[in-house]
Amino acid sequence: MDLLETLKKFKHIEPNQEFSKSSRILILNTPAKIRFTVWSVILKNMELGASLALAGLLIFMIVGGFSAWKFLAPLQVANLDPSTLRAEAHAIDIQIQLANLNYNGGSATTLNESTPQSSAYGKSASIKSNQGQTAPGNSTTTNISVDDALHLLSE
Amino acid sequence: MLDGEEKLIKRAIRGGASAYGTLYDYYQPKIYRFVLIKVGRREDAEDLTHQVFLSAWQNVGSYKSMGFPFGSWLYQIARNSIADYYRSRKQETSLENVDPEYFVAPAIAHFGTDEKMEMERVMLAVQKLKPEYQDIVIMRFVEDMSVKEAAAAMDKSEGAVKLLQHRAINELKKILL
Repeated sequence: MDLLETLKKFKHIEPNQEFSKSSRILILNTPAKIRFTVWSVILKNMELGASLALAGLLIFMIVGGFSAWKFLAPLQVANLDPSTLRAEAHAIDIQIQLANLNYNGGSATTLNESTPQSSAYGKSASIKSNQGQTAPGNSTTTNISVDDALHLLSE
Repeated sequence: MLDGEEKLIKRAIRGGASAYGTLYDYYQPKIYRFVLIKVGRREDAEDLTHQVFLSAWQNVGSYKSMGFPFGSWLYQIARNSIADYYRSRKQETSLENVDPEYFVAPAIAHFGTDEKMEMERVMLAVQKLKPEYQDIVIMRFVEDMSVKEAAAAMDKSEGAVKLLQHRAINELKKILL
């Protein structure tokens, strides 16, 4: 037997993996006794100060960024400005001339126009078929398309 | 010696658990083998290895590098732990009542039968040596430590280490005859 060769074989002995794993976890979860020096205390405090400063800077950038956005934004889109939108909305004078639309199944419709006095929100147009009834009230009958009718109403 | 060991040790001294974990992963098998060959019992070897690394972690703040690897310090702790183990160990129980898994055989289970028998014979012979001879045989011939590292681990001069290893091998050969 070659003694030195046999002794070398012992190098292949390994600890049980489960034991190694659990031992490692237990040990690293145990607090270590840290050696404190003046320099390590100063360094620790500097690290803390730097962390706080960076956190403050980040918060400032986030908060400041939102309020600075309207000055820094490259495109001023008027449509997206809430105050402008409100002003435009109030300016719209919607006078819906409601009429009885006589929808004839295809492109042509028979439109019964109501009098100007009868315009208001909430009055719905009734669609009259070719065979249906005519709407009540003073009306004149005109044969125009739905698109034309809507165009007339919007004017 | 582990690459970047100096930096790892400094981080471990400042309480860096992951740095110590890296040192643990590298040195734990070596310390385990050292302890196992000396005590011969797998469970005891595991307990002692755990104690060595726990003690090292809890006292890492007091480790001062004197130019030798962190491992030499661990070996010193291991030698002291084994000495305490022998001092406090209860009397041997009858071998008939001991679970075979308790011994070292499972650790060499993956070797061939002839190899296992040889290794068990050598291990028993090493355990009959004086503690100093055991240490030097394991450090120099199993773990391939340098004379300098072994000297630091055993707190001896390099000349003393060379003399010890010569005597240890001769003694071991006599036991095996």
